[in-house]
Amino acid sequence: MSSGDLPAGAPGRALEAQRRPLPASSGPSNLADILERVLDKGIVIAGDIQINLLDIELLTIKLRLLVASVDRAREMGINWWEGDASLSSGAKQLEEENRSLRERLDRLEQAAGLPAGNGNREAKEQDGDR
Amino acid sequence: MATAEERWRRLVEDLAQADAPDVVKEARAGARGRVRTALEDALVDELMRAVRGPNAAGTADRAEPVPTEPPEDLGDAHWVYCVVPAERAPELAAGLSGVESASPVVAVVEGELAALLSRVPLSQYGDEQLRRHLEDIAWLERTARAHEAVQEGAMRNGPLVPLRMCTIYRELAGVRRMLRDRAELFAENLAAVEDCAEWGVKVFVDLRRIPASSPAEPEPTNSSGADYLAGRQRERDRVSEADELCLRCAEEVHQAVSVMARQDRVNPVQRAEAHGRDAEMVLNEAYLLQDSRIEELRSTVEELAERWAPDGLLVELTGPWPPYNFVSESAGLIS
Repeated sequence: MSSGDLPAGAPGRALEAQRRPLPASSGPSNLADILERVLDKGIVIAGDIQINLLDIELLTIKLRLLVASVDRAREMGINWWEGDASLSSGAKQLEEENRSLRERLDRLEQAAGLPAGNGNREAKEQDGDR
Repeated sequence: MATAEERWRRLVEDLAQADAPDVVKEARAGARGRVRTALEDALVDELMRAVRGPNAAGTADRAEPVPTEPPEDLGDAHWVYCVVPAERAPELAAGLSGVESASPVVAVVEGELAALLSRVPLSQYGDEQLRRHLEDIAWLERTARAHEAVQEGAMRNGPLVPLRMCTIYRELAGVRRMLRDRAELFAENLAAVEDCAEWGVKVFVDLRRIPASSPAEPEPTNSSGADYLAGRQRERDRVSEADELCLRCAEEVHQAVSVMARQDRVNPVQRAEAHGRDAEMVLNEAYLLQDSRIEELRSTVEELAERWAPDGLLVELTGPWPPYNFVSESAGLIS
């Protein structure tokens, strides 16, 4: 992925970095863009191999939360094709809640003059276990 | 005295009489042609099976031991990529390799249409195996890219109707039947995308990069509950300003590009895990654009990208793509 991670807390520099040449039709396409098309679009005809159309539909739904590339998936430790729990909207809500709680914790830590980051790290570990 | 109606009927009868022998001859020739192709296809499939099969006569007669063939060798099936006009099919297929790199892409012509396909071993592409493969992201990535690459190769020289990946036939006869049964549908789709390609336009935003309207106040050193709430309010204001900015950008981009396009389609935005950027996607559009307007599209998007960059919005163009978003199974096509 060409975009990489954006440096936080350096808006000036980040803005400059953003002014890069237009990446139009150069380099390999994003996997998400390809899968969005080859699995979700195009003419659908049931051939002789009865790969259940439902299987592909399911897969397509999973792909809504798909990862950018295999490397990136491994890097992020994502096994989206294994756990369906993440598909439910409840999971997204949980994620959202988790994030806001983490932010609040950071603020409270800061306010209490505690060394920052402890709670955050713990929250992340829990997040990973989920 | 014959009435006009009688004379008319006699005339038609005479014409039919005169034409009948030719029609019968043509029909016989047509039927023979069709039967011959069907036989050829069946024979090709059967021969391939015979050549590969562990009990094939050729290998059994040989003195040397038969090389250990995997017992699940079930022969080949045909993986179909797209449908193209028949007259250009052979040149389109030339030099392309398929999802199994050892199997070249070939064109199967039926009437005015042709399917581009390649052989895949049934041991790997049968029901069970295929389902398992689809759960393997490495396989999925490789195969999806290969499927798309064939179409990209073929679309350089003319229109094509892309098929969803995993459209597989056991026999060539099945492919031909599919082409025949849906000839009208394919012809309509081909006409709709003639001289066009699909382009993707996306807009991303990094909320952290949205410039704050008022300079951020330094965090008070001993914060109270009121300070905390004030901070939250500032954060909320900033976010709703950002939403508004995103909306304006998305609208402007879509306006500017859709006037050039023959058709357009809004797609759901991809999640960050999908697009892999540290930013939020706010627009994911597909446009069907005539090839003659590509330069116009590029310069327009470039201009938009430059203009919106200072606001923390990234406008991105991808393409040309096979017209995945602009083919349809219904005769009405996309409005």
